[in-house]
Amino acid sequence: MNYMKKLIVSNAMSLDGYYEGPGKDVMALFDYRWETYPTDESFDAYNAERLRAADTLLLGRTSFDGFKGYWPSVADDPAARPLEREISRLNNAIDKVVISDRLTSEETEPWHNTRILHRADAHEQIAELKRQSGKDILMFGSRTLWSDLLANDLVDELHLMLTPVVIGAGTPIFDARPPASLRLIDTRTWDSSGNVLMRYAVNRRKK
Amino acid sequence: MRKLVVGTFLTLDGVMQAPGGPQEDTEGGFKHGGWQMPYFDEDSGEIMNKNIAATEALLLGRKTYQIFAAYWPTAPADDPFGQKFNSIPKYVVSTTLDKAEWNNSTLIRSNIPEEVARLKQQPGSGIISVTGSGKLAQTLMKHNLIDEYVLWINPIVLGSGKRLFENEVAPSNLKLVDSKTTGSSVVVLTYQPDNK
Repeated sequence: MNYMKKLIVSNAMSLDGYYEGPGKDVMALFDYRWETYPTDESFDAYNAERLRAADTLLLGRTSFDGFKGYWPSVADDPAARPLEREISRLNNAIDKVVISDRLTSEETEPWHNTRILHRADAHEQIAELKRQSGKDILMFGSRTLWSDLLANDLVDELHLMLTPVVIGAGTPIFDARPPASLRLIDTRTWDSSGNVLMRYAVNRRKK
Repeated sequence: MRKLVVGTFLTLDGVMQAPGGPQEDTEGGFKHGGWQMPYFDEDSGEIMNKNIAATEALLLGRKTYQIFAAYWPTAPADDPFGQKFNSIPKYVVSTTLDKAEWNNSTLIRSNIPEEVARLKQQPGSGIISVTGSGKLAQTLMKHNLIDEYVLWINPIVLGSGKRLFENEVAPSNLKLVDSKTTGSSVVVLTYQPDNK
């Protein structure tokens, strides 16, 4: 199988390995900024960078609902930071694929450029998508979905933005040992940020 | 005032248990002991050498102390880590040990936070280094006694095992002060608590 497109997972993780805080609160990973790094925009900047390099945003149902509930109107919000407005424009414009057995096309409003795939078809359809030519397939959030895709050899790169905070409780980003090995591609840090971006290539298993 | 530095190997999911060998610590049925060994390369050795050069004393929990005390006195005489560890002061925190026989060792049996604070206040500008010793590190964390973390993030996920940051530790903000990478995919990150 020759894949043309890369599937890239880009997530934030707290220093103690959490994907989100108690009560599924993702902001627990970022609250530190206002005290320690008040001008930190590195996570937004990196998300925009990944979106610019992608032509498909692949999401699980929970993340799709979360993003759709927040991003569409930010592009026209004069109070939003320019970087947030750009992310909103990119999120609105990009083709989206959401894996869900229950979501209906009416419920994708206002994100009409969304394709719904059922779970039973997900692996085959995502593999098919990867065989096409084009820019990256990008995943934000969507922990349950990418854990499954990682275990099924469909993820090419894992980009983790490690935030400088110990949150003590929440949802761990990893459930179990994945049957894949990781090789560090590179790391990135910023002057005004305590984040460390760690980018890993997922070594494909021999078939 | 001396600086207390916690240095430890971690997996990407925060596990610190038994990095060095299968029998190092099998508590909880841990079967992945020795997971760090494939990632220790020349770059790691260089970073480790620098960190150890600045170390004036070791502060260890009972288990790590016993592993070190069984190994380092028997290390080859020209091993620089062995020379250093065998000669510098060792402080072992334990309520169960009767004595600490490794050269230049002192037992700390009670009033742990006060005793550690006193060690830090001794004259000097060097480092008191805590390696391994997960339970002790958590006690020090709780009492706000850690000045710096050096975390060696290895490119592996284990899904189980003892973690440096156990659940329900107090949330805290850190400042990133240094970041290095090694040829074998390890990211070595240095943080200081932002509450001082």
